[in-house]
Amino acid sequence: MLKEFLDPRFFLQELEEVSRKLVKGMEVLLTLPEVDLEPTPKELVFQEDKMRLYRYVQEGPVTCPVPILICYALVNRQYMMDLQSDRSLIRNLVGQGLDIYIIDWGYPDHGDRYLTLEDYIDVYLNDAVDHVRRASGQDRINLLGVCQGGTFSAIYTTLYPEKILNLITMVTPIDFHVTDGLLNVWSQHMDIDRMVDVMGIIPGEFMNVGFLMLKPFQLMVDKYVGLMDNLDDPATVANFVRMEHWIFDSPAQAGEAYRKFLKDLYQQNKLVKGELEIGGRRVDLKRITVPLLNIYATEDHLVPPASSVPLNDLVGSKDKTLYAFPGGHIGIYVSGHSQKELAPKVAEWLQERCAGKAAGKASKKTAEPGRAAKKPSALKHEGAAKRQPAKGGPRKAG
Amino acid sequence: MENPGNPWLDLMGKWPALQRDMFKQWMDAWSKAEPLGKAGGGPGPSSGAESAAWTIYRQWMEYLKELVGRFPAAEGGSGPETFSRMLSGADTYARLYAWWTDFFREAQERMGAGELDSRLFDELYHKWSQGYEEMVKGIFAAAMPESLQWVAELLSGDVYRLYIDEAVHFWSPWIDFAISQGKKAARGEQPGIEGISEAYEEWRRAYEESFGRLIRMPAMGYYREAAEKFGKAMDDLVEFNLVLADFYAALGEAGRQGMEKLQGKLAGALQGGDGGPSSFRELYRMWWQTNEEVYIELFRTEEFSRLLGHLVERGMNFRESYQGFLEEATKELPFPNRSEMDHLYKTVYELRKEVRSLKREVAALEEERRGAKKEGGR
Repeated sequence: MLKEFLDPRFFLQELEEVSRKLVKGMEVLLTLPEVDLEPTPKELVFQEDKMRLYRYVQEGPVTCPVPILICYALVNRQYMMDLQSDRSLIRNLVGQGLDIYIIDWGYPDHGDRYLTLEDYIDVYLNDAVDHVRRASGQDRINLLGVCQGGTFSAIYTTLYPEKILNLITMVTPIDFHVTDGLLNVWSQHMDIDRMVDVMGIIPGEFMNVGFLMLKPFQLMVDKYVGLMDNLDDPATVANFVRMEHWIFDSPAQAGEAYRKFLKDLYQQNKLVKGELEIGGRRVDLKRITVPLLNIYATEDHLVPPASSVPLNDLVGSKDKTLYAFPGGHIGIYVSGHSQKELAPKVAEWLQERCAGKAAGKASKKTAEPGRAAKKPSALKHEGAAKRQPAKGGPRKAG
Repeated sequence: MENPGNPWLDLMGKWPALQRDMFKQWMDAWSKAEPLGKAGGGPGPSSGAESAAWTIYRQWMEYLKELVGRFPAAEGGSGPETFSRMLSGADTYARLYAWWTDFFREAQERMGAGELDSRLFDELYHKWSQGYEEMVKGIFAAAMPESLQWVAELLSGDVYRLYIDEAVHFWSPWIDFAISQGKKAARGEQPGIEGISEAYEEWRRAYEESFGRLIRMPAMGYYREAAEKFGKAMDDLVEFNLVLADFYAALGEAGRQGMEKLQGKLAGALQGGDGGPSSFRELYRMWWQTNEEVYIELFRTEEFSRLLGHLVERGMNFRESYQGFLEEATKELPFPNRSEMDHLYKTVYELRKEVRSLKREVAALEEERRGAKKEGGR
């Protein structure tokens, strides 16, 4: 084999093939139209400071009257879940008849350096939950937290159990002292106080360097070499560009919130120890008694399974499900397997826990104007033109 | 018109005899001198009195002095006095050259023998400067009126010695650093992680003892604070770069290990005859995957984690001090700086919280009032 490799004819053949792809690829890149992101129609329904709450337009029949609020991480942007129409967990969940709201945390700037974890959980997340409760007429709603947003959601559920009907966590770090994850290891020796005091807000670029270092050759070399193989395929290139856009679309982190999250959770693992305090109240995971669906990715390099799995043992819920998704931290949203399996699984789990459990007074308010059930096939139509504007525009918090 | 009082006119008559005399002196000088090159080519004292070139030069100069002395002084100051001054100037020039060449020659010889370090350099330099001092005194003192001879003292006395001392003291750490690195290179030492770190540590010591002292020197005047902050920022930048060097050294070492590991894999494949890469693409895959393994292994270590923490900490130190310098340097400009804005942000943040809390209180009170109204209406 090695002999064949050393034969210059083989090398020249490969070189010729690569050159041909590069030339064709240049043509593709030069003519590539602007890629679209977040294709599933949604409307802005609530805003508070930089936090925005969107509701996805549901054109099909609603199969669960209790809406889901998705709480994404502060790191990176929530549209990972709706990156492109054929790889969109959101679109699939909407297609399953779920009423979905999503929080967009925005891009913190220096003016946000004093925002605390309490502001995010007790104010923004709580106000978003209250808005969804008011709008849907449900006393309790479903909360789906992703990654760091999952940690927020778990914390929130311990503090406001009366407002949550079901809790879903996806690739969520809970035990921060597992040594599988490099982020856990590295954070132990970081002087977080110094970082926050000096920088005020932690730049997204700073965070990104850390993420790239988790798989340096794969993420900084092979990813781009791999692109060459498909450089002559406009669809693949467009997908690549979308993903690239998302990866480097990294908001800065509000300093004080970052300080508490890193020190209390990453460094001192207070959530697992039951020592975390939010606004002077102790966070006890045993206070989570609602049904829990804990989804983790078996190949997750950012949040290792060992960090997510312990949640099921720490909560007080009797109805709890642990779901292992065969893939990585990103693949869980964009892989073909995810599209076929994950969304139906989530919808099925929710629907089983939705029927008959919705708050009684809700029935009057669930059917909002413009939200009449339509055939699922209508989902094929998407884009801004199909959006249903919110009545009276978005509600702004005081 | 002939001027019988002018001795230079007699020169023409004596010219053939003079020619003969000059030729004889020239030949004598050469015959008395040792063969050229035997004691070095330069005219300095180490080769000086014994040096062939130096002997010829001095003998020839003496002859010229004697020659011009044969002529009485002419009107207008020209004649032997003028020649004497010119020849004395040439002599000074040659002596100065000799001091330098001696200094460099000895330094070169000691360095070649591996003996030179900052202490010896200090010794050589002082030896040279002592001679130089005497020479300058001799040259200037002889040329200046008595009332101005203090100038020669200034240029060669205590002030000069202090300057030399300070200069030697300032540069000696760098001499030690350069010699140490040179010795390591001569021994063919491979710069691994520790080697590179050691080299930077030595560099830092040299910096600390020279430019570091200069930068930390108390500043004065209107820009004192800005200058001091700048100095602090530069110090912090050096500290950051030192850890950055360690960081890159660690990455470089992992790269080297990755390459060794890959070579091992390829050699194993060749010996085992069970394959190996069949295409460049496959070799590339082996390359990046092997490297990834090695790097991840490094990243998992406690040492790397500490190094990363250290790097971030030093980076923050520099960022903070540089920010401080920028704020100080731009305080007169018509825009707010980061600290002022932070103060404002804090106020806005607290006000927002207060407004939010008050709004909630108002809403609760209104709710209460509505409830009370309803009850009153019943």
